[in-house]
Amino acid sequence: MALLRFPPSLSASSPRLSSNPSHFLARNPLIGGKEVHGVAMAKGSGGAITGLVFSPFEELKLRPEVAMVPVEADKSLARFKYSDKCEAAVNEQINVEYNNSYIYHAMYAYFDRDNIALRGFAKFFKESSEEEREHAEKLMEYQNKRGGRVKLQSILMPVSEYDHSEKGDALYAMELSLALEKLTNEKLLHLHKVAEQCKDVELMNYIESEFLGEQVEAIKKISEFISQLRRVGPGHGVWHFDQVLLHGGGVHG
Amino acid sequence: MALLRFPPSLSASSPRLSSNPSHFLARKPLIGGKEVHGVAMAKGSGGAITGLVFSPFEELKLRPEVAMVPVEADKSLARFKYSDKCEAAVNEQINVEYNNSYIYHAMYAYFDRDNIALRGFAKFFKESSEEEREHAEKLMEYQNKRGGRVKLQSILMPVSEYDHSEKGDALYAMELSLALEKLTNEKLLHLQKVAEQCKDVELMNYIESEFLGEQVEAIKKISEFISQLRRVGPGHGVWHFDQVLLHGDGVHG
Repeated sequence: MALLRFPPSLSASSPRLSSNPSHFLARNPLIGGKEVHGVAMAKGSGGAITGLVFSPFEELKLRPEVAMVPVEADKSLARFKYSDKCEAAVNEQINVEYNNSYIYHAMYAYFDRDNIALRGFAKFFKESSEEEREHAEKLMEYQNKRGGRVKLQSILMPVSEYDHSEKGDALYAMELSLALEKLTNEKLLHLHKVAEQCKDVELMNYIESEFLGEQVEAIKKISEFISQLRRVGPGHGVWHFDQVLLHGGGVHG
Repeated sequence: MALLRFPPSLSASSPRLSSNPSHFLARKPLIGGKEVHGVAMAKGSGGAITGLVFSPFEELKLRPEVAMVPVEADKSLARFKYSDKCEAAVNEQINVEYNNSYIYHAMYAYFDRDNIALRGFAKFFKESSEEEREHAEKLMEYQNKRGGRVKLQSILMPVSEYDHSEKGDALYAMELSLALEKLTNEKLLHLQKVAEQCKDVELMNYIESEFLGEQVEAIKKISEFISQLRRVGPGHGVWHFDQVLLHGDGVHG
């Protein structure tokens, strides 16, 4: 155990001083009325030494799995109360977000074609692709923060054609995008439920604050796009909507 | 054929005017001494109409595959002298760059771990990942520019562990990165060779100017990193190098 130990001489011979916290090095602490030698004491919370509420090193003596810092090179040091289930679920979500990014990138490539030429939609999907990749990276950072191990999985090739004879490609791609965002929302809620089952309050809060709200915003935004596209119709309508997307003319909030 | 045709009355009755280019609508051109009716003429290059060097619309009449603009919804309009082989080779290179990006992202995740904690290397590989993705996007843009069709392929999961008992993980990862960049250089040269075989001068130039130079720079930079890492050794050396990578202190040009 790597706790700080005072040489026996120092603690045994030091007189019991006043309860002035600055002299903590010289105290012979009392725990449950019993004098304790040779163990470093944190400052007491109350005034008198007998009012001690928290004796961390005593607690640590009873909790070796917390006190002992792993020495194996491949073990995480920071990992604490982070279950394997949660770790795996986070890795899954990283893959989901990365897949979304790849799909949006394919949509960007489609609308950038010369015979499609909807540059506003191309720009929107290009930015969506970057945003999804940022989500994935955020989760990778979180995984490392909790002491889990990031495991990147394979990414399937996305669909590359988005033409639709009735709806038109722009509306069809937006409807696909909405379906994708709703599916991602479901997966985030599933991740949240796994965290709840593992009683991982911090992960639950992280998903709630950093992901769920943003997902709801995204779903609202794309739904509004679809409503507008349905209203203005294909042809001139879609082209105008595309112009607004391209130049950011207040189509969306 | 979708060429502009003057109504017969207009061209048949208009008198032959001077060779003033601004009256091109009223001319009855002479080509090889023969009067040509009912075909719009571009302005002549010389002064007199008989010194004509280039008759574009006459040429176009002889080249229907150039003159006719595709009407099918799924056909590219811009595509010209862009072989299927080159299109496929560009798609391959997009996948190569995307794979590189994913591998670097995995390296970032490794060095970001709490028990590895080489944040300078993490930062370097994070930025490398973004850079490779930009290369892929650049090629996607080029594909669309030439009128090819972007086809994103699946991406294999990368290696996630970079520990090495003799070299240490930092040096090992850098050596892997160097190998990767050299392999990518080879693939770019192969793409350039395919372009050469297809006599696609524009693509050859594009690869040379936009990719090959940068690849050589990258190889030099990483080689220098490796030399420095070998010199300073693992332990304090690697840690110091990592600090410099993190704070950008002039380790590399």
